[in-house]
Amino acid sequence: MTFRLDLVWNARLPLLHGTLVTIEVALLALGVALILGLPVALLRASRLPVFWLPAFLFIQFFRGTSLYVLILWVFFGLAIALDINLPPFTAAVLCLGLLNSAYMAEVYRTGLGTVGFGQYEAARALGLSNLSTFRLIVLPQALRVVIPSAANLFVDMLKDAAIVGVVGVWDLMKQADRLTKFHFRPFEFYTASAVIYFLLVLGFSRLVSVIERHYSRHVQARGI
Amino acid sequence: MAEEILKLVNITKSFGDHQVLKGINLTVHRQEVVVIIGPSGQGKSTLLRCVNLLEWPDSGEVIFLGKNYAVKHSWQDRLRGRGQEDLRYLRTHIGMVFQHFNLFPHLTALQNCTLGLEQALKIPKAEAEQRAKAQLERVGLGDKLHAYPDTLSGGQKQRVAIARSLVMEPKLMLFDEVTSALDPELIGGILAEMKRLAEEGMTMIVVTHEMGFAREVGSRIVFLCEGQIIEEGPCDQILTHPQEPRTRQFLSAILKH
Repeated sequence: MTFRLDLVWNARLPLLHGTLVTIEVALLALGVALILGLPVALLRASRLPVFWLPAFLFIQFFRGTSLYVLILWVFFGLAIALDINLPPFTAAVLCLGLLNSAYMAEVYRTGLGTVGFGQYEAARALGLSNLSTFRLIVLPQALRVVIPSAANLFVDMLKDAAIVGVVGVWDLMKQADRLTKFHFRPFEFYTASAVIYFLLVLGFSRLVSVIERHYSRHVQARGI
Repeated sequence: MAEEILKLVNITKSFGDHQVLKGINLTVHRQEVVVIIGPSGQGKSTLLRCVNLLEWPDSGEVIFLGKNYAVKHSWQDRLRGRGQEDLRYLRTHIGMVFQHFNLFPHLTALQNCTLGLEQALKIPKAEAEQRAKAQLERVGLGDKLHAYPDTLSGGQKQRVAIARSLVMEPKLMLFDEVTSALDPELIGGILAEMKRLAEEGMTMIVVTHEMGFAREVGSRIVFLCEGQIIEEGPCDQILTHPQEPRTRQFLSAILKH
């Protein structure tokens, strides 16, 4: 049994392209989750059932759905039922984003919960509007808690993105699959993709710790 | 008599079934230091918070510089932002210092002080920083401008909080048990700061248990119990010859130790 590194090296371009597609899918889906998660979290925090109930159902629905099933259902099901034909890439980003926006909403909710009532009071007593209070006082403090959790979520999303090939997105895994079948060398190409996933996660974790430190300046100053 | 800064008319407030304020009338004139005393949980803080409408009274008027602010606006006015604008005016002209400081932990001492100037009063950054710096220097924190609250002692935090309010140049200052969360050795410094303010002519409403401060600095004492003003008068008179039995009871309890 030999490891044909030369085959992997010769296939570097499709593998690299697949890697970029995987990153793209995960990043765009993260964007969807970050943007959509916040209003869902805010609605969820409301005391009025008309607001929190839909948010609650949204969260429960997407938390209880398999990504694999959701992607297939959105891609094939919507086309048949409603004649909505989404391109594979769009369907993949949408599903990964929607599903994770439910998790993201819970992350935001936790983050917002860490900001004490006194902070709102002090900001209001200074004459700040509700929007300024949220933007300048509440959100920056919540982000300190949100960022590490969001980063973990993103790492999961990178790895979960490996299934988007089922609807025909040419991501890293689908490229590896294709190369495997072409050369009949599963060991080389699946190992290669495993290494690439690992490096992606490692690289991104480093980046996150830098951002995290930026948002924790005031805590670091105390030596904690 | 000096100009009326604040007039509370028949303020009531309930939380659920519990009526915390049962028709409070109180007038504060320019340069007066009104000290509110009374047992815990009897509405002192709530009353103070009604002044800058952190708490909306159920009924009654909050008249600040001749205008009633405790008005529920129609939704049309609220859409036009009138309620917001009034609230902003009221709160930028009334400073408030809290028992637990409530400094913004993610901002430096200087940024804590410039925030209100820049955001609520729309003062340019450079000028805001200059004013904030001057104010922090006045409370003795000229060397802590860029320190984060977590690195400061309780006394220093409370000074930042006082500077944060004063830098807005308020017409009225509200102090809500500002020394209660401090170590005993730090209380004196904060009280001295408040005394200096009073001597400079700041109009103040002070909720406190520091009777020494009340006697020395207060123009008037208000005894609040069970949501009502039981007794009101010059400090010496209230502290030495209280008329009402409940005032006597309260004072003898807290002056014992």
